Amino acid sequence: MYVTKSEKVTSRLGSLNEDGWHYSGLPGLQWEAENARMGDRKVMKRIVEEVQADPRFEDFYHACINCGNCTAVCPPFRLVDFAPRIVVQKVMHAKDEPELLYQMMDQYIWSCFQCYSCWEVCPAQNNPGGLVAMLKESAVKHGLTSAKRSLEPYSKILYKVMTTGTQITPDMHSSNAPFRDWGGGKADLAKHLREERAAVAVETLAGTIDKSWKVDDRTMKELITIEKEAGVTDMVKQTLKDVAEMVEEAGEELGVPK
Amino acid sequence: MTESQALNLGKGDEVEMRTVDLKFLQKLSMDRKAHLAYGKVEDYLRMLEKMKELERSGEIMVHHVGDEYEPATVKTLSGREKKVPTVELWQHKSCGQCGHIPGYISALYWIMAELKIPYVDDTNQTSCTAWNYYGSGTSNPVALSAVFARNMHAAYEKNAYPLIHCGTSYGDYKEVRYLMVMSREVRDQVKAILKKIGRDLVLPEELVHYSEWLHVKRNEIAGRRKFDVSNIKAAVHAACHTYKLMAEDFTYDPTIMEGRRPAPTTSVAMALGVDVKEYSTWSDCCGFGFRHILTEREISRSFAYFRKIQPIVRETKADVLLVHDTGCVTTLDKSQVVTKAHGFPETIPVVSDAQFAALAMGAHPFKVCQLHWHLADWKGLLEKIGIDWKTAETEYKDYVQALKEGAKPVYITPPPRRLKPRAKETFS
Ligand code: SF4
Ligand code: SF4
Repeated sequence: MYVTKSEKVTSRLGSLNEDGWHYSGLPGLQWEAENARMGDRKVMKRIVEEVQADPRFEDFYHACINCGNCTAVCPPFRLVDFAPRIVVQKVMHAKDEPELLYQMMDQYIWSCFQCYSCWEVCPAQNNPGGLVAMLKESAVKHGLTSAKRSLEPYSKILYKVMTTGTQITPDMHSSNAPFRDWGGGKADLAKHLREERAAVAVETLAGTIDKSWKVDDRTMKELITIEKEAGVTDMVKQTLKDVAEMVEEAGEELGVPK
Repeated sequence: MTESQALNLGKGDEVEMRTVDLKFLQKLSMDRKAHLAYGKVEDYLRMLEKMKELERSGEIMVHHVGDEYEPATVKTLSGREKKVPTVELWQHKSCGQCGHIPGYISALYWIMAELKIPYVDDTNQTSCTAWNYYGSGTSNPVALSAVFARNMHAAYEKNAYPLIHCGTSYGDYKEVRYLMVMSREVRDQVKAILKKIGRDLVLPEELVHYSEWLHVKRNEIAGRRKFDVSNIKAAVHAACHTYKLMAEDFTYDPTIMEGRRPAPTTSVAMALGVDVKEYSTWSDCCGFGFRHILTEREISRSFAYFRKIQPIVRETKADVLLVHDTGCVTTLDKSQVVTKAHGFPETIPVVSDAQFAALAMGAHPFKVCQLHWHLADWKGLLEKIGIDWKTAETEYKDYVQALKEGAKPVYITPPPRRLKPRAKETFS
């Protein structure tokens, strides 16, 4: 048989995001002040302390002169309520007003494309996109509602990357969701996916359906071990428990102890 | 008459400048970026020095770009000379390319096989996993560094030099190499994890994106072209993560657009004789946004179409948009479907520089370049190059049918390797 597909992985994926594919809405349109007001001040303070103690922080943040260069080149700024200058300003004032940072983490930051156009143009050498990446990570680690809402539609991708190191695998090109808006040509291709995939002239790709390329078991075992030891699996557990547990299950099958 | 050009100031404002002045202004801003206000260059060079110190003290190993990799030299934004290995490459595949734009990888392999370049396509490779970090905050620096280090060690064991296909992996690896060298805390944590999986910390002396390899091979590639592509006009989109994310280390060349833009991709098109056009939103991102292209598609698509596709088509009338990153191919190609349904007429085929170069060298448009996975119409481009796509399509369909009936598949095969693997892998 020229096509390989793991039944276990397929059934796990089927149980995530069951109604096919739904959208997490436009981040940045809501300024979740209510949530911030209800938030735990101890958690808010801990987040600020963690961010400022992070080894990336001194490279990513210096001092903001409010020039707005970063916002001028920021793609989402043109379309939604999001500006990197605001992010850096709130990071700057986070020690005195941790609720400002917390409030922003609850939805606002999820608009960032992580393109790093801002880093390239900041005269103070700030890295607003880098700071956003740190804040997103913190939102996931602390299980913020906005992180849950933003990531739920993304759970299949998350699982695939964490277990195989690959994503947007051929088996995700069904003829309807999630790529309906990629048009009729794509839907046609999806109908003949197995044949098309078998005809790729690269041996490591040919016929692979549930991964982007053939990945050795020991490679996946190493990957899952790294995620466990580096605290990623535990971090994801705070936000998407079912995904983290499935990753652990996949790890156990490969011999990674829980 | 003196040639003049409009400089777009955004929001519809433009100033008319002499082209020579505009180029001077852009060059000045590049120089500033490299040497004055953007003082990260010094930090980057310090990191490279520190990497040497750590190697001398035995704390890390370094995978050098030795003579066995037949390196070529390029200049980076920092002014530093960077060694680009040209043979015995360890193909660091991209999670974004292999599942749905396989021509991105097969065209590159085909070019290498044509040029008799030995390489390793390893199944013992993960992606950088930075998709999860940038897209969703579901990774951290220690995990990313450890994933980087395990892949780099796998390449070291195979005695092949990593060549990174994806712009994001290239950017992420520059970030985490920097972090691992500069932070003892991160380094120690990574070393402890590597020990658990039976690997050592081996950092590559140079991080090299595949477009830099194509750049140094451009004249050899041009010398083997089968089609005259001098009638083709192209626009180029460079990936943010190659030249904005740790901007210091990407290739620039004063002979390619006076060094005002990154050299790779543009240089390959120029070497092939293509007329490369500039446009006002050249430096804009493609609109990918990681999670956004999947779950907040309207933002991603709107940006891709209205800030890239539409101005490119209107201003340049180019026949093709050339890119060098998997996320950019996806976004710029796929974002043309819905807009077309809404009646926006501007459309342009989107392919990687490797796919375009392979087509010019006579590669099969479907068996090798896999153009049927691309959505924006490429037929006009092929016709203008002089490729008979209808015959090629029939050949491809026959091949697919033959495979279904049990024929043996034909794979791209590199020449035999000259270097022997270093060690047996121990982790089980
Ligand atoms: S470019 Fe830098 S200094 Fe200017 S507003 Fe943005 S972060 Fe602040
Ligand atoms: S990295 Fe984020 S904040 Fe910076 S320019 Fe890109 S989208 Fe805007």
